[in-house]
Amino acid sequence: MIEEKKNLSISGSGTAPGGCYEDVRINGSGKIHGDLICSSIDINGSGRIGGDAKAARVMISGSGVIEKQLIAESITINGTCRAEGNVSGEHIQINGRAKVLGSVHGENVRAAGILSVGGDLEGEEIVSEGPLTVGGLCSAERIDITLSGHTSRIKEIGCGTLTVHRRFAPALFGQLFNAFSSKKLVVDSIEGDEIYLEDTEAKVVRGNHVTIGPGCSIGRVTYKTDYKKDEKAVVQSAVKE
Amino acid sequence: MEEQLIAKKDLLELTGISYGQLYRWKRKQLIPEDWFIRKSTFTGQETFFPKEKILKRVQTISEMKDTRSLDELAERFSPQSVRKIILSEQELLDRNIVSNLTLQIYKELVPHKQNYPFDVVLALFLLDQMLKDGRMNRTEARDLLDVLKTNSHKVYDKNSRLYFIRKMGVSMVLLAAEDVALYFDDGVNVIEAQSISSSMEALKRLIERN
Repeated sequence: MIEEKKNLSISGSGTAPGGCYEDVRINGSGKIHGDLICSSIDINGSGRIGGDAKAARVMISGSGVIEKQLIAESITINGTCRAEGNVSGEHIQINGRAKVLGSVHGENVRAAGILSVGGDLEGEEIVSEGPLTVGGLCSAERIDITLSGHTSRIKEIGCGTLTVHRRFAPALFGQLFNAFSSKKLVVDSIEGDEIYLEDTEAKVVRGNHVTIGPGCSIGRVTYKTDYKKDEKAVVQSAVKE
Repeated sequence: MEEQLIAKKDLLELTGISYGQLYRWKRKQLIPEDWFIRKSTFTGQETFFPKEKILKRVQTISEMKDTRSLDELAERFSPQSVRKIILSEQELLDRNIVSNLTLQIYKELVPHKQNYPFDVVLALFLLDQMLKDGRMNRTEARDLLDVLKTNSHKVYDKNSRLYFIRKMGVSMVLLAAEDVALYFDDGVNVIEAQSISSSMEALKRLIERN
């Protein structure tokens, strides 16, 4: 006998047990007790999942809390989301604010909002346009960071190609705005094949092709093939090996 | 047991791989997390690797990456992948994994066996080596097979070690799930202290070569 999976919908306020469902939708305020396996999760109000969540598609437009792991093919966060375990997904898009206490494993990770990861952030491609905080290693084939708003802090970066650039700002307004906010990236160590940095503070940068752009303050650069430094950057020592 | 370590930058220089490749392999779990050993040096923190293991692994990956996908390789290196290996009696003998004599001993214990899963193959492989060296006799073989057959699958992904000790002519086989230091009294003779993971790799290579 094939059991047909039911949809689960909470409108208003309510709680439901976990389990297997087809589509799960929370429109008001809802809590799901236990683990959840389903094909899609939509949270429009405020939702809390009290265990692991596994779904093909997850969309959080309000506020969502996942108390354990979140595993999905595509994850879109437009509101705020807090995951207390690890998060893995092929496409992860963050437009609002996401805080992950564990690690994030994705293929394609795009953060237009605020992303903060307690553990490691891994992917094939990571594009971040907002403040990014990573407590462990940030590792990808290609990492593209546009600095804006608050300071971004990453413990370690290891990658193929890394580009860090400041956001283009209109001349007058931009300067005014710049005076109030510190847009920079603070990293302990960076390792990669192709590295281009702007407004970055790092203790150690190791790479093949290394370009240190304006606004950087680097302790030590070691490079294999070539090294360029902008005149508005501070590098304490650069060694070819 | 102090392993020789190699610094990350020396590894890259020696093998000619790039940072990007190294991190890609790490992400795909081709290189286990616990091989990345952090140490403080005068230039700040640096990453080191167990030299012998990493060089062998990098060489294997470099050789095979053109013909197989990274995901396939990841599965291959996963300690659990060996569970899929099942060999027949004929294959065991043909590939010189086990000598006929060792197989006979096993058959006395477990008759009517057609296929040999990896647990058993590993046990036989280890036994065969010890019998050939003359370090173990036939009655002791039973103890070794017993402990390995029931427990070896639990220690695949750990840094485990097999001990064979003898005191006053009484032998004993024990399996330590982690690579810990064991101290015996003076009368104990440690005849063999074999790392399970290196035997597994040797066995895997032997199986794949054919």
